[in-house]
Amino acid sequence: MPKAAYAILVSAALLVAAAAVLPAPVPHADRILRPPSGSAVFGTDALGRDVCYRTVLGFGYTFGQAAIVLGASLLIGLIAAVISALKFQRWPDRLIVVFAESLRSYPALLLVLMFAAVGAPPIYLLILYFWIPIWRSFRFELTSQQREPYVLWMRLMGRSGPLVLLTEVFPNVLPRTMPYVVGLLSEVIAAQAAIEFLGFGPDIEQPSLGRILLESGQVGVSASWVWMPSLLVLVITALSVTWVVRRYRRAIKWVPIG
Amino acid sequence: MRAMWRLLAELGAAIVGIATLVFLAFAVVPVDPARSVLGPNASEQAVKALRSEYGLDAPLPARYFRTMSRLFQGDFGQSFYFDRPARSIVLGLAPVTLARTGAALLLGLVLGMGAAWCFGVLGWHRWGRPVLVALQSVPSFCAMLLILWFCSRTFGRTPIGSAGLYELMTVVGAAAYPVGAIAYYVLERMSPVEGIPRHIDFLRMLGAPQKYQQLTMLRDAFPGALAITINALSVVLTAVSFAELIFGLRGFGIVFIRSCERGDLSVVMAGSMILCVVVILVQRLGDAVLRRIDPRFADA
Amino acid sequence: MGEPAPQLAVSDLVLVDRESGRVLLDHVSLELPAGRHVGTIGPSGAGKTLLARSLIGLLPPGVEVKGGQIRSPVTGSGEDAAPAGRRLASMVPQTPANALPPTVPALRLVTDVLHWSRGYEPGAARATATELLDEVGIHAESYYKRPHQLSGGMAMRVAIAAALATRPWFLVLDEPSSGLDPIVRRKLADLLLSVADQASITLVVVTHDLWMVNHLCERVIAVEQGRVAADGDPSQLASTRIGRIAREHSEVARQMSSRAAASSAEHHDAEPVLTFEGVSVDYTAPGSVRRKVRALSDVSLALRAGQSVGVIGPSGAGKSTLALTAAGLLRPAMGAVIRNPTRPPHTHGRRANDYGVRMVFQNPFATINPRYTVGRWLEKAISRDRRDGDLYHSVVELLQMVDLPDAVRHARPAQLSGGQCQRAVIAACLASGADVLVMDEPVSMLDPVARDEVIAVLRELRQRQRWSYLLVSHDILSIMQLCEFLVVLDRGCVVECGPLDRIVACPQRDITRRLMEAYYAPTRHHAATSGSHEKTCSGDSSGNDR
Repeated sequence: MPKAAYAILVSAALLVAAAAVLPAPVPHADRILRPPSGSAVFGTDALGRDVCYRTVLGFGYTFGQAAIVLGASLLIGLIAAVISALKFQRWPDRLIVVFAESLRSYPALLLVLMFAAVGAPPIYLLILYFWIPIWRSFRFELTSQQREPYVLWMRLMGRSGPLVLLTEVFPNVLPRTMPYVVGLLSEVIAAQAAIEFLGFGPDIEQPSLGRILLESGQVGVSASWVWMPSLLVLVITALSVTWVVRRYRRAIKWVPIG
Repeated sequence: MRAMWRLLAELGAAIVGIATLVFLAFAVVPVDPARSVLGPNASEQAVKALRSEYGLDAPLPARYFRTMSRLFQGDFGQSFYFDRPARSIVLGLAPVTLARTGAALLLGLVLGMGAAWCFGVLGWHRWGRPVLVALQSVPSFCAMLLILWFCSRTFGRTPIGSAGLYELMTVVGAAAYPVGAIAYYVLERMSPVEGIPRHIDFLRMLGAPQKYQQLTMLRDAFPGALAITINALSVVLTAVSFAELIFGLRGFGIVFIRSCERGDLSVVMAGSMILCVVVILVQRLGDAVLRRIDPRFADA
Repeated sequence: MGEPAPQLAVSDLVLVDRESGRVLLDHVSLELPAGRHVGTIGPSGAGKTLLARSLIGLLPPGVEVKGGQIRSPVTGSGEDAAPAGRRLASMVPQTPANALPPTVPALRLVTDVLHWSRGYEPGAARATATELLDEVGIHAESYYKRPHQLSGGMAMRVAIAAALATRPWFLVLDEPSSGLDPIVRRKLADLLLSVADQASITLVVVTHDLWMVNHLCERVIAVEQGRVAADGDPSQLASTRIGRIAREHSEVARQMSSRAAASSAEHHDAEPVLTFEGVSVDYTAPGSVRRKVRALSDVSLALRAGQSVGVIGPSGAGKSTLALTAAGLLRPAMGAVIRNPTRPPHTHGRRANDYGVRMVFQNPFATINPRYTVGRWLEKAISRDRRDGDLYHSVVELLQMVDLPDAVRHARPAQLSGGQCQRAVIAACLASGADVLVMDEPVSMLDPVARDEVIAVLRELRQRQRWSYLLVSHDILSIMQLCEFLVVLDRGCVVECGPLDRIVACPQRDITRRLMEAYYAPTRHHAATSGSHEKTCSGDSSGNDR
């Protein structure tokens, strides 16, 4: 991995840890909506709270939730992909395809919104939504390898389909699919932030990127120092993830088998 | 003919599925629609009477059966909040939102291909890519906030006095994601990580001019770009809904969001049906166009 | 003073791989004047294709010039310094089906080439393009087909037409006969000669197909390990290893064709190890989930223990389908395939659905999982089942039996040559307790040297292990070297089968006759040394010795 990517990740982790551990700056009623200055690097918000501190903590929360979503989606997506690959074009696979396409065809946020109104934690709904692109990607890769000679050879030796898929095929397709999965992270973060923006995020005391943007919108966008850092954090995260993915693809120089 | 029947069957299955999903979700909603209409200070008797009037006190299976049988007659029921048939609300507002969405998608496709061509031909890969990634990754609500800030700060125009400007900004802002996604995809195809594609290498072997090679790569990438455009429908629709919410524009997005908050089942049901039908029709139409452009999609 | 004659030339050229620093071409100096067709042969990885690309000034990415120079005029757009306003050289790569622009129909491609290479206006370009396509055998019904709708042979022809449209002095072809049956190969070779004569084009053929070299070329350059090992007319190859192999092949072919017909085949009383009973196999046609195409139709044959049967046929006859069905990788729509009924039942270490049938695929690099070293992969293949005298304890022992050095076990497939990789696959067959080997074009990807090594190992092991072979191949020579029975397939049906020598000497069916004639007909430059196909028919029809 490139050194700069390491630096970004380590710095971000240290910042978040520091913000979580160190005592929070005390909000002052007479420092409402102050622009950036020596005492508050990013200024203060409508309640006199330090924007830098809240942005860092908010990033930690949003990113953490997104990582949980991605991890759970990866697990579900993988299991579904293995089933699809083993029973390709037969009823288990067709059932998954129909379910996934129906779900995916529905606008994501509106689906989340509808169920968030029910009181279900949005994180479950994000998982329900994001396992689909992971499943699709792994399904394609696993299935395309099924007719490769090295797989057929193992089948001729009497090894079962699932065993061959998991021990022979899966490790080969992982380097090619992981960059895509990691690349989904920026999409998940954006979706998580959007849910928070709509007011379905954590409690009011827990900063999150979407909530910061929501609160800024409520008091007017003219105080750009309040919401701009959150926006920049979202963009920089996406850029970093994409850059790392691109470098990783170049580094492994994955060549399809056969 | 067979394809037509298959499409109709798919639509029917999707409508039933979505309707059931929406119904079940609202069956357990903690929001009391009658209370949300009458307000927190209304008497228990009045709330009960309103519930009875809208059939909310019937058993769940009876309500489901009634909802589904009305659905197949095109009757989505009465909106609690607007006190009007949900169908008229949705049909009055959905075309506006869908028109904005369609315009954003078309703009995204044209600008995306154009941006990729410019970046590719002019050799601006290095800084072009980060710009395109940024376009894709800015959440749509952030994009709308940025637009609001920029327009109010730079031009002194707010949504109230400048509806036309904000209509345009809605389409432009919603097009940001497809522009970024399409241009990034096409640019990657024009300069792939894995090396020169074999068919471009063959053109080099025949002495093809650089411009012809680039045009060929662009032409190859078009079916994929069209597929991305079709898949971006959901994302763009969400972006347009956010724009309506933030700019206060007349449209279905804001009504849908508020109806979810209030538990207004009939409006949510009607909106979901129409969205579902539109999305499936657009995807199938897009698939048909793709197969026409590139028969490999038919053989895949 | 006339213009200088066009030529391709490199002078003391040294090419290296930019990343690893490995020397790919080592001080190569060559001049190829127009007028004599040239063939470039050599083992895989020797540098043949790279040399050809250097001659036309089109190095692949990742390769850099470390010394010497490319003296051919640069062939980029606008810089063509070739005489008479013609382009110096165009090239047709290997497997052009993957190299043609995927969304461009055949006619459009040739029209575009005429437009940017010779400045033709649209109307004139279209008319000329149709002439060129007709000349190479692509007719109106295929003008608007895209590459994935064309067969391999048709894609090759479209690529040739596109190259001819540039009106080059030299036409470089990389493995033009790859994957072609003898009939199609001969037609292609004759076509190339015809168009080259008409348009005054010099062919430069990069191949390991000795037949193509003999038929097309007046000058042959042998490349080994990045250096020119021999350069001259084909007779001068005699001193090289490839030349010796070519003579052996010629001898085998001549002996086979002149042997008298009738029952020279051994009569086999052994039990059948593979039986097809009225087998038909369908597959789904591209572009449709419902339309089925019958690939094999009512095929019945039996392979006995220790027997070796070859399967030949034109492209699309169903040979590969037969092989996959025999191995159990495809299910018949009708009929039954019975595999090894007398094999000992399931024991520890062997799965219940292991019938002792192993498959040797065309691409050995795709058969060994690229994650593993050869040694690790062989360890996985070693069967814990014990039969009398068949216990293999070590990978080293296995490698010795296929004539591979011990160092191979630490290598990954990509680090081996094609021949070494294929022998490792055969070692795995040994390790896993194979009784029947089904081989689908096992040597077609290999150069002549590697090919001979693999054939030698297969012959030895067949005797030692009493293996049965079902060998599917376009390469009639390998079938002659390994098999004693022959099955001829055409359009999914068995049209002829029986002892190999009898069918070769006296083919009864038209398709068999055409295949033999295509193989045996004299090549352009070696009419005297090719085996003549003497017909010594005894009047017997296709006897089914099953």
